[in-house]
Amino acid sequence: MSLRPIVAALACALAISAHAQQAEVLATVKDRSGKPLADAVVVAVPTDGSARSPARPRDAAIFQVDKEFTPRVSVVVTGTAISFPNNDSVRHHVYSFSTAKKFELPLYQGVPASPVVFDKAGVVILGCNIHDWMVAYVYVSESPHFARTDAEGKATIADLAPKAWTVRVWHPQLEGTEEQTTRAIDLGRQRRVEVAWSLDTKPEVRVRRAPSSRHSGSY
Amino acid sequence: MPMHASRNARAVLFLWAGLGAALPVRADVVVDVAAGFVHNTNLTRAAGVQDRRPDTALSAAGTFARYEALSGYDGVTVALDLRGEVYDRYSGLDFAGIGASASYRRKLGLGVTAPYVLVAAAIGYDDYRVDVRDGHRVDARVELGRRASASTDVAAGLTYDRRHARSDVPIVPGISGAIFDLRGYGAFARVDHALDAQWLFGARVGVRRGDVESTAQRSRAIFEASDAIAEDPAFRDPSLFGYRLPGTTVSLGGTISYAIDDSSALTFSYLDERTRAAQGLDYRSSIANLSFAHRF
Repeated sequence: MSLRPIVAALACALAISAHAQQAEVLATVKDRSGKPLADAVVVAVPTDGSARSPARPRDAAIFQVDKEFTPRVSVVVTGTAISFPNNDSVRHHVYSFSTAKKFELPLYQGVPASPVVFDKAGVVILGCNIHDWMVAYVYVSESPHFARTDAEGKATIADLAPKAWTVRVWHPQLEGTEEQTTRAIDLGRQRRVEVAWSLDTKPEVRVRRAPSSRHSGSY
Repeated sequence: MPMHASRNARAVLFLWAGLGAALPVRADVVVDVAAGFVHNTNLTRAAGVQDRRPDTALSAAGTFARYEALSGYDGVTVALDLRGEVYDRYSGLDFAGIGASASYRRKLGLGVTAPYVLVAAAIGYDDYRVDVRDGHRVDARVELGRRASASTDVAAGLTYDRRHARSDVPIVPGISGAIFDLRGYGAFARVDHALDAQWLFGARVGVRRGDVESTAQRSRAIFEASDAIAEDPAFRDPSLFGYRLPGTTVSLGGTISYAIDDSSALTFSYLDERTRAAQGLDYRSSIANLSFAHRF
């Protein structure tokens, strides 16, 4: 009798059992006035420091459409290669001088030949030197366990091991530091934990606007 | 439109078409239109209270511009603009104008807060209902600016303006009648602050030295101060004459702009101009403007 079906069944049972033991964090992020905050990044880090990035992170892309970056906020794990396809008919000059990643893609159309590898954790602010209003954020996470909030300010980090974790949140308009938002949770006791943040935010100033039609004097 | 005005308009169009054709199709194209009301408390730019004529005009303007980045740090803009004003009381001041402009802007670094240098030149032709005011205009500007913070822009620069009068009909022998043949040099500084996503506040201060035109009743003082005199029928008052005289104008302005969305804004601006001329012929004008602007 072949043992193969038995081994397969056993492996399947173990996988189902392991999955059944996985836990999740349901995050809700709002500002002080109670308005949901979209594009907030929620990150979970095991307190025992055992989180490991995947051997080869998935590639990502940030597009330029109608002279805006899309998505506006990306969250990737360290080591991710991001390409910057320009879907506009005009050229862009993408740059960052954030500590976590300094780079410059000189004036181009289409897709640059090489993607940019984000190999250091931190927040990277992107801009276009031609169109000053264009801004995007790349949150480079040392932990592979993260999620980005939707329009309702909600995000779910699933498939977490049932043990102790810290969770924290970052948002482009966050007033103060990300570390101040850190919470400790124990998924060993509860498989499903809800965490809510009410953040102090600074106003967003957009510089893309119609001309103000000044009236000059006459002589 | 008279023959000469049509010829000048065609010249402006040809110039703009030539500049525009030199730019490749990947250029940014911007079309702006604006309409509103403008009120001027002293359209005659007269020193005496009895000579001051206030009025309100309906104004409209449109700009078609193309921007081409030469590199990630610099670029060229060429623009064609049309504008006009229709006055409530003094229809002689109604005008339609056409202009073309070119500017070169270079950022002195990378990023939103990098300072920039801008060199701009514009030519145009304004066709008024009264011929004495018709003429070409040439403006040039050099500007240095930067975004001081995420929400505050500052800039300062130098200006040159030249207005060539088409009409030169002397009424005093030996004295020019080209009262709108004007030339001036100036300097300005401005600051704009975005309070939030909608509200933008601006302030501007400027000084200009050069020729000014003042329409006033005859007097010894203005006769001695002026170097050109002509009839100015724009105000339908035979006791008023136009004079060209040198002066220094200090202007102080403020702007409040509300962004209705990414492409539309409602703007109120106020400009206070004080001119000091020879013989104590000082005049003051206040110009208030309410306009709606839309970018396509």
